[in-house]
Amino acid sequence: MRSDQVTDKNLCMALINQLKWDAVCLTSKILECDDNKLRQDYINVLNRTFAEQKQAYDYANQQGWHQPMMAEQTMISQAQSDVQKMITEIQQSMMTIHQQAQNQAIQPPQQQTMMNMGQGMGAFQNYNMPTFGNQQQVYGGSPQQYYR
Amino acid sequence: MPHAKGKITARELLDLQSHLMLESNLVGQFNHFARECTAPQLRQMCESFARSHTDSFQRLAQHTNIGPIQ
Repeated sequence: MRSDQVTDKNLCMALINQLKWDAVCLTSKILECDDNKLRQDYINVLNRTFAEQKQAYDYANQQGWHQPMMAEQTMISQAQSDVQKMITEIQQSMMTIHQQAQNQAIQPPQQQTMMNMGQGMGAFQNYNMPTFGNQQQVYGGSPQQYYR
Repeated sequence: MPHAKGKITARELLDLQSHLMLESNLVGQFNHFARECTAPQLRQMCESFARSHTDSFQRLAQHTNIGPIQ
């Protein structure tokens, strides 16, 4: 076999890359579409392209042409640690929102009215301050119970 | 089928033209791959993809049967 001869492996890899590129192009077109019918047609073509790319990928894998590199344990541990930090940040962010909602709920309605008087924006501010009597029950409980 | 509203946005038309060109190139390439490869299974796959993208081209090309551009 000549060294410049196109092999089945090269052809299969080129096939996979072309299908990947087609999927990328289709996705950007779907996101810019105004017409529902055209959008749906693009989505149908994209789904078919995904299936074809998978078929070609499986064939390459079966032939031993594509061996994905597995992640090392140190990388996995680092990723797990990073994810744990993100979870903590999300919980803190959600707890802040929860506490703000609780603080708004326990303010007496009379005080809200006084604060809003003469400010011109009172009607709008009231949207942020619900005046239900059982507000504490709505926002009650520990935030942790929602984010487990 | 023609474009649903009988109109098409300028962006959609440009995207459609470029995508039809891409699909047309893919059909040519997949047919070329089918001729070049030696494994029968790979050849069949390339031929099947070429047919499938011809269908996609035809389906999308129907959207160029449109009214005035927005």
